[in-house]
Amino acid sequence: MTGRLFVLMCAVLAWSAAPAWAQDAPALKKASWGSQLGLRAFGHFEWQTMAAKDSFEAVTGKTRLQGPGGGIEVQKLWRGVFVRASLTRMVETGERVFVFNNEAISLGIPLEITLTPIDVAAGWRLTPLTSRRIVPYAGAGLVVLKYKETSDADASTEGVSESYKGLVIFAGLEVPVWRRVSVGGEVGWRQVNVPDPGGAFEAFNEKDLGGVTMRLMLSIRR
Amino acid sequence: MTASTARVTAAAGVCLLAGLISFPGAPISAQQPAAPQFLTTPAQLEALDQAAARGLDYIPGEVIVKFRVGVTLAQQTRALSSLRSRPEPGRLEWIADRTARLVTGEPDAVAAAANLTRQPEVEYAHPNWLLKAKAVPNDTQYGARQWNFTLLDMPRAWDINAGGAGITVAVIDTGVTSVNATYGFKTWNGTEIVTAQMPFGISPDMDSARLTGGRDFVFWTGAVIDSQGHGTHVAGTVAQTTNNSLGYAGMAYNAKIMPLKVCLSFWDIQILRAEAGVTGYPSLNSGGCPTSAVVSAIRYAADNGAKVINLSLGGTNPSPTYLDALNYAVSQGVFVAMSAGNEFEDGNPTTYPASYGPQVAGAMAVGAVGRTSERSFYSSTGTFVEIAAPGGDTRSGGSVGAVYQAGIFFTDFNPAVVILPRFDRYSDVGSQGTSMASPHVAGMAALLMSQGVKNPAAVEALIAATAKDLGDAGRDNSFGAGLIQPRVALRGFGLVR
Repeated sequence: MTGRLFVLMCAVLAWSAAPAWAQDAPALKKASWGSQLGLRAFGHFEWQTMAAKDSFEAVTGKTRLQGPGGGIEVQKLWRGVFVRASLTRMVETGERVFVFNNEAISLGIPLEITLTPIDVAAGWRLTPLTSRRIVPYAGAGLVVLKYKETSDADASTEGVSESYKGLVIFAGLEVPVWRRVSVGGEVGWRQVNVPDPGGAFEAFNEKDLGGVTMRLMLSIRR
Repeated sequence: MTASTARVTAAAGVCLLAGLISFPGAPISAQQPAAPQFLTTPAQLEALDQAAARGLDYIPGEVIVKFRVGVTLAQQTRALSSLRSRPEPGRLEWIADRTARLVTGEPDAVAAAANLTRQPEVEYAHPNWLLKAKAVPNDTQYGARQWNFTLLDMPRAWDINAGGAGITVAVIDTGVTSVNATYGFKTWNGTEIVTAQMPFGISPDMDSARLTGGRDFVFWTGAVIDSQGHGTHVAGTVAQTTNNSLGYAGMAYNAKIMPLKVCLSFWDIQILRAEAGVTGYPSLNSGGCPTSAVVSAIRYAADNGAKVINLSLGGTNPSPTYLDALNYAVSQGVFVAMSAGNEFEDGNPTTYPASYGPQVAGAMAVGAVGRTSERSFYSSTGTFVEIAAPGGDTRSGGSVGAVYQAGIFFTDFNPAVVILPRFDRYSDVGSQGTSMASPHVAGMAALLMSQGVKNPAAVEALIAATAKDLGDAGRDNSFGAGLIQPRVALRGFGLVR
């Protein structure tokens, strides 16, 4: 599922980028630092080390989730200012549990967790650091996290499908690799608190579906 | 004591006629078991008679005594010498580490226990209390109406765990008949002692292969038999065979039942008296469940593979022996469900051993609710009540408000009218009481253990955490944490809900 989504995302990127490649060379110059508005589409693969590590460890046996995503970015709104929206989809399986004395007892009932954070953020892209045009950037914004929890044992009313709001900050570096194509790496942090949590969150006194993120990105300017 | 004749009756081809489930036809074969020995001596029988006659809740002349750590034989002798009868330590029947049953020979067991308690070598002593089965018998002529399982959403719970396979539940009670046999027991027929053929049969709605490791602690060394019906009803709620197109369902219908007989019924007493040559009938309220037997059975269950114990018994006298036994059972990985008592309208006294529940993580005192989830009129209340389950309430729900299971056909052995009883036919039996509530929790515990929750303390925590809050918000003295929710507990928890 995750792999298919990543391939699809790359295809979308390729499609969206194609008209730009068809343009002439001066267009590339116009898109240089400090000039007019730019539009960028990107795909990424993200790893998130969960803030609620005890809960995730108990239910999934893991403290880090990962998955593909993508987004769009409008650049040079004013000098280095950009805004962007991105979406990541992370799916993990585990088992329903009962937590007793901080120990998780698995009940043998499969569980699937899907986290889909949608980040809407603004940031600042700095002057390239070196002649290799390594561009640092940083930003912050809001996140709406769509959370889904399903199990084979669920009746129609028993699954969880909810949205939570939170904050995101991030910083990264990108390097142009070929014409309008850049690659980059980014680290970030999300905080998405679940109000009145139950389940493992309640047992471990945790409430944050966020955590520290790391992204590898492939972007293309239009 | 006697050579009893056993006849294996045909177990196949049971019939259901006019609400009566019976074993048809004559015995098809016979076998002679090793001659069982009765476990109650004439002196103890006399003491039980006295208890019934005097309305005592203990066995006259018997004391439970626990010595302090490190007490030597000489010190035990010294402590026992404080009694007028000066019993030798050889008369101590050990029922647990440092704990023994002592037949003092003194009629006033309360005074004897008080005397022993004052001795420096003794940690505690008390009479050998007689517990009573905590059920209120009801009319037997109504059909199967298991509102209790609907109330608990059991069909959906069974979707998650189909019946608690792999778990053994010890039913410490009046026994659960584990043999199809006819015994020649002596009894009083109104004019003389005669040998009567008394047939016993396994309930056709209880797969005999799931009756395992039973033991009789009070009546005899033979197969476990139930001549009262309470244990059979309780075992039915725990694990009645289900999906067999017959009779009733049970909470943990794939679990095994370990029938441990610790209670003497009217008929047990009658037989023991006649075997001892005592003429006449005992009092209708004869019998009970000696603390010494109950404690021994708890330890036996824990040592022999049971993972859940149901104790639908209770009395109003405290005994640290219960607490020791409960702690031992839990330490061996055994969860214990106990009835909270039926004496709300009789002064609402504290019930033992249930009141030790809150002190033992892994043992729960169970109160009763009726069909509407209201507290049953009889269900005792107090700080010791930890959880609630269906126990029936015929006052608010009519006769269909009882808890129904397949039970021994009462008309066959009603002590008030029957002279020569039989115990091999089964019918619909409706009963109410915390005795009926407790096996719901025991059955639920078996399901949870089968689902992977092995720690008795965790089982208790899960049952409490998922209960439906009733009465005052939060824990209260009527319902404890609330009404059990087996499906919710079996589902457990996800990440955020």
